[in-house]
Amino acid sequence: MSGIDSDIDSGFDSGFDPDMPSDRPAEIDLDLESIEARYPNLEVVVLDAQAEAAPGAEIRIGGPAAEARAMLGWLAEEAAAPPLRLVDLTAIDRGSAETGAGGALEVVYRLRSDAGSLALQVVARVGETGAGAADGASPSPPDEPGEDAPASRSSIGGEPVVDSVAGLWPVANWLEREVFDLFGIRFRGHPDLRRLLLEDTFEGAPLRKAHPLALERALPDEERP
Amino acid sequence: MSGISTRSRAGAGPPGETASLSKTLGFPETRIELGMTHPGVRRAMTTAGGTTGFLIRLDDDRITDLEVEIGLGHRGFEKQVESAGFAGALPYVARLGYAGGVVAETAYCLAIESLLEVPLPDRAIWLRMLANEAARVTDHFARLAGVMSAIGLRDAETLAARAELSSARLLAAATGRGPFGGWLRIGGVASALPDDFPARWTETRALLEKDLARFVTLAISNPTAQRRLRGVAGFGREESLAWGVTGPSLRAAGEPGDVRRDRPYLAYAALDFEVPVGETGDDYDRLLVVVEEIRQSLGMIEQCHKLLTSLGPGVIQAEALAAEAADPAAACEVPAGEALATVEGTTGALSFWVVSDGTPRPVRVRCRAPSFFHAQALERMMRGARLDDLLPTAALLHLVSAECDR
Repeated sequence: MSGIDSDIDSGFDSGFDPDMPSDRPAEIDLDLESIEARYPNLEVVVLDAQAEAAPGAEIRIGGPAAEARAMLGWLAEEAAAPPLRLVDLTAIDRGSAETGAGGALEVVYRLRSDAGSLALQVVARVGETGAGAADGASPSPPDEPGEDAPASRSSIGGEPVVDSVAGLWPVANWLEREVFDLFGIRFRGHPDLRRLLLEDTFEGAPLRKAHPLALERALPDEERP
Repeated sequence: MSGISTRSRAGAGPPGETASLSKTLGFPETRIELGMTHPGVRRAMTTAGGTTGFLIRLDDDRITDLEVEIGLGHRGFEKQVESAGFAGALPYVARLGYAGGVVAETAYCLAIESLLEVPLPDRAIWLRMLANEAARVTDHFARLAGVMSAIGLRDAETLAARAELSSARLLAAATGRGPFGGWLRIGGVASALPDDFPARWTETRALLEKDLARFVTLAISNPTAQRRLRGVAGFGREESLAWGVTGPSLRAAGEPGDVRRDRPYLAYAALDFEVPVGETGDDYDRLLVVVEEIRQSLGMIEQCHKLLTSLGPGVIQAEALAAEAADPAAACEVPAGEALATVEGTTGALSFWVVSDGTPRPVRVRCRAPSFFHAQALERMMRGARLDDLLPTAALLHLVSAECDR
């Protein structure tokens, strides 16, 4: 396939073999009933696979952050072979910037199987936004270890937090940093939680609805030339 | 002593299997900050040079740790579109790529069109595919020019840069617009192929195929290219899948994943094309995959063009969305719901997750950009590799900061 002799070769043998390799991974058989039984506060919805909007999110599981996160941990262990891949991790503030009405603040995980037909969207509700809630909260440096909160409790009304999945899926490292950066959601246990896209001195969580689109701000004094 | 190092390349042995000179002489570890605006980085990485930085720790010339710095190109796209509205967001979406902005627009429109449940006219489908493949050819040639610059093969670099320009002009001829889009509409496209396009395409195709053949001679059979790229920064199939690597780099690692084949959108299921697959996932395999994909894309453009010619002139915009097409600033009301559209972008699997609450302004538009994942994976790929290998690998991965930083 890629083996071209290192001797001078005037032609290019495009002998790429388009055939699929014979050892295709098996499809993961997700036991949804088991999930519903173990995590009763999670809602499991199976979409019609033919629906246009569905591909990539045929199965949607959502609920309180602690339980959703626990379920993800269980999935990572149970579905270890063949592995479930984390293909995206983001967040959403379902409030309204215009009316100021609050909404859910959710972390959204997207997982796929290698075989390709299992597409899972897991939504972990980490808090509420809106007047009175912790809007525009600036992500401050991670807490010291040993805080008294139970391992997987999420914070409603306070600063939103959920356990990191970077230990389960290393690709989550940058993904969680981006969510921390833009939404101010903290990921407990993340090895290196700091801003990724915005500068370190930035204050606020811009993708929260309460954060204005245009904001005049002064540079910190020490940055002035 | 032979003078040429026969030490194994990345991944084939721990750094310093012979005692490093630095350690022997008692030097501390070397730390280099490369970029963001370093001219060498800018030249090698045309699509991300100037907005990507590297913090490197070295032992002699072996990289022991790499931190890739992104974010200088962050423009707040995902925040901006919440104010701009679904239709008003299109110009921002178009700027999420190098030449691949039209592919981002395609994914974005597909997500919205699925929420609107509006079927696309046939001509719009084939026109979008033609433009997507022309964008892919342009981006791929940019990638080739970058890696050739990084390894010092100037003839090959110039050739690839010239071919990039030719295919960019082809895309502009097809769409009637420059690189920053404005051609796609929700529900279709703004214009059909101009009358002089057939002649244009015939001429450009001949030119590009000739340039590609010459590039192969200059760059692939070239012993310098082989020595600089074989066995370098290999990322196997399992690692690639675990780190979210998609596109040509994933295929170079032996995994035949291609969204156009696995989850066809538009009319890709009707196109005849092959998905080149490598073996080791090293830089050399990536190079070969990219070259072959250019060839495949040229064939796909030909098929699209043939079909469009046979269809003749006709509707290119969905009737139900004619008003939005006429005035792109018009509000586009999208039913409440959410949709995910994934396409094979020029860099890899590109997704848009669009959430609507029934108003003309989106609740959320999330762009899952391949380059974001590739930039993170690069940190891991370069462990144990030589400093010289960093820019060729980064160039070959085709980090596009427009999509990575958004």
